[in-house]
Order: sequence, then C-alpha cells, then structure tokens
Amino acid sequence: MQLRTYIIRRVLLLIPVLVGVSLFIFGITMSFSPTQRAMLYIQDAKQMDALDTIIRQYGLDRPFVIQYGTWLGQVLRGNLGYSKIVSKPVWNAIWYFLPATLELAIFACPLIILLGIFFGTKAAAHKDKPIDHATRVAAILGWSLPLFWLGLILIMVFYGFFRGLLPPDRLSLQMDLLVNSAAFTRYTHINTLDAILNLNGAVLLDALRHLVLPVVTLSVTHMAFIMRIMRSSMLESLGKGYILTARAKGLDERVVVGKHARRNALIPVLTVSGYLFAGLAGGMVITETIFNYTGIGWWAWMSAVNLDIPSVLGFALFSAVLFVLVNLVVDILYTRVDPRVRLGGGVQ
Amino acid sequence: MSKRFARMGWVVMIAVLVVALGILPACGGEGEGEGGPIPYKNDGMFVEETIGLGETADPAAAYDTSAGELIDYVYDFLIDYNYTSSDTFAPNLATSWVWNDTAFTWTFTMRTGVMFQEGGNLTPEDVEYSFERTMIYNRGGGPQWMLFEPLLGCDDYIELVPGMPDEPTDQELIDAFALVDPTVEVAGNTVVFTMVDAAWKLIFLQTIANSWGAILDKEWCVAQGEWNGTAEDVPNHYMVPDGTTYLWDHMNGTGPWKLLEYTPTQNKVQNWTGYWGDPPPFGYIVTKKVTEWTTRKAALLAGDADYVDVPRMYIHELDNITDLNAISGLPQLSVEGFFMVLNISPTSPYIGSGTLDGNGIPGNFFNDTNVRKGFCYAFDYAKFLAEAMLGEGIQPGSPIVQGLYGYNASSPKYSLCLTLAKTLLQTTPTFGNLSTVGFKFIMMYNAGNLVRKAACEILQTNLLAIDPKFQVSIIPMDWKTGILPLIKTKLATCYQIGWGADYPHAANFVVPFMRSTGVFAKYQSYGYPALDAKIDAALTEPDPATQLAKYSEISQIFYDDAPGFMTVQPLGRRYFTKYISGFYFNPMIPGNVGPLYYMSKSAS
Repeated sequence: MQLRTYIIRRVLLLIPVLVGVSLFIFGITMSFSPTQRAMLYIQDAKQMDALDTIIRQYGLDRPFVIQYGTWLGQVLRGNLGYSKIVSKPVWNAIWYFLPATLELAIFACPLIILLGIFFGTKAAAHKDKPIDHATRVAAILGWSLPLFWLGLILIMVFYGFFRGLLPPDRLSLQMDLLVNSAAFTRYTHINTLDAILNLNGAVLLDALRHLVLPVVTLSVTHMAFIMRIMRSSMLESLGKGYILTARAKGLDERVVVGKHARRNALIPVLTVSGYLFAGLAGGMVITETIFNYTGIGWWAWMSAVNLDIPSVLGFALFSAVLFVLVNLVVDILYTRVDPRVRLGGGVQ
Repeated sequence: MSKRFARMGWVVMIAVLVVALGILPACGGEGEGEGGPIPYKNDGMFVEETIGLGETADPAAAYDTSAGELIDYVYDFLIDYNYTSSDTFAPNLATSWVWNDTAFTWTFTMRTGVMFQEGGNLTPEDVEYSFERTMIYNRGGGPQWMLFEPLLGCDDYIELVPGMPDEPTDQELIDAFALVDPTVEVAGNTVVFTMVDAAWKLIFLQTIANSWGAILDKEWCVAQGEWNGTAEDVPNHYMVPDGTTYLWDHMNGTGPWKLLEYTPTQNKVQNWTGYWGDPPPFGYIVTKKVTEWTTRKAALLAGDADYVDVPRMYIHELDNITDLNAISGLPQLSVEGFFMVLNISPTSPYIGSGTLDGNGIPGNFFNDTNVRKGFCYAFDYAKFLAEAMLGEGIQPGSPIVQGLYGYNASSPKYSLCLTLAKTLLQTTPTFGNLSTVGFKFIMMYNAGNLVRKAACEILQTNLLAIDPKFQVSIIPMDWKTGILPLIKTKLATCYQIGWGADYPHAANFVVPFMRSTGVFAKYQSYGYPALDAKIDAALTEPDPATQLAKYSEISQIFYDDAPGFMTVQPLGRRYFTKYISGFYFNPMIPGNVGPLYYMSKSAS
C-alpha cells in the first residue's frame, strides 16, 4: 500500500473515532439533569430562580438526539460551541490556548524521549554498573513521584523559598506588557519562538526561565518510563546473534550499540511514545494548572470542574485528533526505523 | 565492584531525601524560614492573584463581585459610597441628587466636561441609555432585577405586562418597552429616575453605586452594534446569549483606568491620562486567575503579587511573616446558615424510609416547629466559630447582619443547650416523642468546604449525644451540580447556604430567606402571607425609626419560627505586601481587594 493511501485511510478513520468520542461524552453529560447542566450559567445560589429561563434559552431540556444533532450540525458548520468558562467560542479557545501547550510540548517531548533513549541505552550498555544503578534510582524516583506533588514542591522551593528564581506563568509582568505592546510582533504566540523572531533576548530568557519548572515536572515523571523501556529493549537487542556477529567482526562498541542494537531497540520505544503523548496530555492538565501555565490543559481542567460541556467536548475531540495523528506519525516512523515494516502489509 | 555501586544508588537516594528534608520544612514553615524578606517589585503596578476572574466586562450582564471589580476600575457610577459608609454617598459622575417625596423621583445633576476613554463626551443621554440597556438585556441570572424592582415594581422584563409569555414575541417586547422608557428620563443636564414608591429612596442609591450602575457611552455602543436605544431594536438585544454582546469583553468608560487586556486568564488595566479626577495611584492593575493556593502564596512571598486570595484554612501559613500587611476582622456583608426544608419531596433519597420508623423521616419532618428549634439548640455556635471559622466570624441572630441598614444588635440568638433541645425533640406537636423510635436522614454539604463540613459534624455529634437514635448522616456533594439542584427540587433535607449583599439593606437579606417568594424561602417552603405583609410593610415604611423597629420585629419572627439558624457572619481578611498602604474597608466596594484608587505602593 502506498504511503499516501495509508495516510488517507487513517485520516478517514478519524471520523468514526470523533463521532464515537463525542457520543460517549455527550452521553455521559446527559446523565446530568438539565438543572445540573444549567448550573454552569450561574455564579451564585441567588441566581437559582433564573435556571428555568436558562434551561429554556439553551435548550437543555430537549431530548438527547435533538441536543446531539444540534451540536453535531453546528460542528459540521465549523462551530464547536461556546466555552462558557473562558467566554470564547470553543474553536477560538483551542487556538488561544494551543500555543502555550505547544511550547511546553516542544521543550518537554524531545527532552523526555531523547534523554530517555540516551540514558536507557547507557544503562543497558553498562548493565549493573554505576550508571545503570543511578538511572534505575532516578527512574524509580521519577516514576513514583505524583506529578502534582512534584510540581507543588518545585514551586515551593524554586519560587517561594528562593524568592522568584524560577517563576510560574508564561512570562514575567514586564515581559508580558512588552510582548503585548506595539514594539513586539506576536507571530505564533509561542513566546520563545516569537522572541527569536523579534530578536529579543530578554523575552527569550524570561520565557525559558518560566518553562524550566513545568518542563522538569513533566520530564522527570515521563522520562523514567521511556528510560526503563529503552533499557530492557536494548538488553534484549544486545543479546541477539547479530550483535555477537558484529562484535566478532571487530566493530567498534559504539557502532555496535549505537547503530545495530539501538536502532532495533527503538521500536518498542516508538510504540510507547505514542501512548506517552496521550499520557502527556493528562500531565499537561495538572502541570499547567499548578504552574498557572495557561494552555489547553489548564482550560480543560477549568472546563471539567465547571461542567462546561462544549469545552469538554472540544478538548476531547482535539485530544482524539491529536492522538490519532501522533499514532499515524509513529506508524510512519516504524518504516524508517525498521525496513522490514510495510504499512498496511505487516512485517516483510 | 558492581555491588559497591549498587549500594551507591541507595546512597544517592538517601542524599536526595536528606536535602529535601532540609529544604522543605523551611518552605512551608514559619516566617523566618520562608526565604528572607519579600522583595519590592513591579513599581507603579498593583498585581492581584485571585481564584477567579469576572464572568464578563458588560455591566448589564455582570453579577459577580470579580466582574464588579474590573468594571469599577474602568467605568464610573453616578455616585459612590462615602468612605466606609453604607448609607451615605459621594459624588461621582453626578455632582448632586435630589429626592422628590411626592413624585418618588431621584434627580441627578450631571458632571460636565467628562470624556469617555474612546473619545466621546458624557451626556445625560448616556445615563438613560445605560440603565435602560441593562433592563432590556434582561439576562437570565443577571442584575437587572435590582433596577426593575424600584423602577417598575417587578423582577423581570416579562413581568412588565401581565400574561406576557416566557418567550414573548417581538411586538410584545417592543410594547413592553413603553413601560421601561419613562422610568429614566433626561431633563436638561439632569437625569430623572422615577420609583414605584418612596420605599426605594435609599435602596436605589445603594443599588446604583455598583457595577450595574456603570455609565456607558451611548454613541460608541451603538457604533459597536449594541442596542440603538429604540423600542424597535429591543428584540435584537433582549436576552441575547452570553458572549455575543460587544461589551462582553470590551470596555469604554470614564473611570481612572482603561482596559488594556481582557483574557480568560488575566485582566490588565492601565491608567487613563484623560481621567477627569486626580490621576490614579497605579499605572497598571493586573488581576490574574491563579487557582492553586501554593502558587499564589509563592507569588506573594516572591513579591510578584501585591495581594492574593487566602482561603481561611491556610491563614496560619502566613502567620509571622513580617513583610506582610495582614488586615483582619472585617465584617463582610454576608451570612451563612443551616436551613431545614419544611416540605421535603417524598421522592427524596435522603429521607430513608420516608416515615418516622427509626430508619427515616417523613417529608414534613421539619414542618414541626419543635423539631426545628430542637436543631437550633443542638448546634454549638461557639465551638463552630472558634474551631471551624478560626475565630473569624460573628454569630448573627437573623439574616439581618451587622453593617446592614436595619440591623439590631440586640436581636435574639440561639445558643447551645442540649437539655432544651432534648425537651423540644421529645415533645413535638406533630410526631410526639422523637426518642421513641428515633430518626435518620442524610444531610449534605459542598465537597471541599471544610467549614461547612465541620458545621455538619457539630450538629451530627450533638444530636447523637441527645439520643443515639437521632442519626444524621453527612455526605459531600458538588455545590453547583449536586446541592443546588436538590434545593431547587426540594429533595434536600437540611443544608447550609449563604448570601452576600447586592445592596446593604435589610430588605436584600430578609426577602430571599423569609418572604414566601424569596429565592431560598420558596424552595424551603417557608413563608406565609402575614409574614410577607410584614416584610413589605417594613420596606415601604417611610419613617426610619419605625422601619428599624419593623426589621427588629422580623428578626424576632425568624428566631421564633426558626426556619433555620444562622451560623456565621464571616469576618474577612486582606493580605497585602508591606509596600501597599491606604486600605480602608467598605464591604460594598466591588471585588476582593479594596479602594485601589485611594491606595498606593511604595518601597519605603
């Protein structure tokens, strides 16, 4: 099967996935009564009298099929609904919050995957040696730390105790005023990238300073997973006959490990990286909330706790699309890592 | 070799733990260990970190105090509260105001030479437009009822014409505007508001000194596609969905600060150089939404925030930090209490068997006055204030709390008396001796609210102490999706609820809790015609001394009827860094902070 056909097929597969996800979430939210769902629109108990009006105004008491049909019809016209929690259309909210999350992912994902692969390889190549023990300890520590706990501790230490050394948020107040002024052009709303494009070192440094804690929090917990998978996969590869052959041929150990063993050991890592990405989205929710790093995760959290159904649905659809696309990329990468793999045709 | 290094892993782990144990107590401990003095940062700016931002910037839709805070920065009202007073006023956009006792009108003379931030001139027509726009918007759950009541004697646009359906036609909306229009009229350089009767003389002034009294620029609003001020355009702007008005997230006022940024995560305002009054003390005010307490606390200690919201359960974490200016004991115009539903729905899953057989209660359980009074005497008010409120509260006797017009300090209050409670519960007119078989039901509180949980536990423990057969279970529930719908459908049994002032008058607290049509009383099935008449009479009483006496009588009725019992009028706190000064307390100033226009920030 041609790569293009494969991609088209996978993208088309998105349609039933999205319908399924939206039906599932819509179905769950329908278990709440119209009154419960109307509660989103009031701030205070004193507004209780308005609930009947709100239910009528937003059609919350209509049958499931009609409400879902109305929502689906709007989605097909490009309208994902209105995010009450941030007072924006859902589509606008996604675009508004996406750059922050993207920026976090740009820094966290390579760190997690590359360092995970690097230390996993080192640990396997030096089995039962100091580096293996050290990475094992680090992995156990990292994997066993609850994300929210680690985030809070890092804030307490590096922001509270050391008086603003590594702050939360995305930018300091002065830099925030600067980037929103006429003197600065916001090309992407990814602060580090915009700072580079504006040739502004102060904004770049400030943005990086604000990224340290959330990136570390995300990386510590997720890197441990990749590291351990990589180590065990490498150990398996290193025990294979072709490695023995390579060594017998007198190849340099770095070539044996780096070229022959690691490349074959990457397949399981690639597989789990796709799932890790989904896990990372969950981690983003917690990390962004703790560090007030206002991205999609922060928005999702706010929407969920306030039962903002259009926002929750929007986030779920966004996550589903992302998950499917990431797995598609992973599948394509298989063919690059392992020449035996043929898309749609299994292993040669 | 490898065994030696295997042990090294443990050494590393232990080393990390030792370092962590050394640093962490210092981070969460007392003042000296908090990492040194709070640095002075962001000169000329005031940074507030809060748990929530306002829902909208539109004065016709905003009904929460955070929104009111932003509106207060950018817009001006006709009058302001006079310093700490709740019933005297200072000029703002109106320079003087006169009451007409026969026509029931307030006439406001307008300040001249005032400009809007986008360039327009303030005119009396702007005032008329602003108030009428709030009424025709008629947002579900919005603030317009506070204008409808004094000006038109109803709560809602669709109540203007008897028989108007819930979903009126365009023509019905247009016709009804004929009633709204004459209530606010321009006469030369004055604006005349006509009340339905003299009862609203004070309340109207108290009402309009808040965000729903903000003055808009009519011409600018019309140019942005807002209501054009005519009857024909009313249907296009009546009950429009949230977020669809231009003013929802855009502002143009005459106030000291101009909106710079309005986002879901923070608001920024910048001082406006064209302001008609003295220049404001802060170049910028930044209000950030930070939901995590640890993050807010760290920002305060790092000097990045000048003020943060501090939940009561965490106040001890800020003890002994000398660089903070902690102001406490501020009597808020709010009240909390326990309320018993007099007519619980028989389908309620929280009344057990639904009969008085030892495994439940009947729906009319709390309809018995002795039962309700027994509960009132079974609550330990002193313990609750000391332990749950950490000493930061006053026990009110009725909904009319200290600071409200109509408050009487000598109104009776319940106190803990288990003997009396036992006697009452064993001699109920409806059910006889409750100790015979006992009762069992479920009481709910909002999950995460430790104060309300503690109140439930105090009541539960004391009822059990009276008789082991008096069993109350407690369950936590989400406030919005759990408890409020139960209250509305009369499935709740006994619950706690609070109320904050819209305007500082006894009427604003008595009506919701005690009038049969009140938003809480009606779902509690409390209230009766004779009491409604007394409440109405107190409101319309022209003589202040007689009016106060009538409100005292209403407080006494609350005590005698005991539809519930008030647990606390909370005392508020403010935590500023030591660089902030000038704070004074008026509970009616919108928002969480205080009178920022009169405050300042200085490194010295």
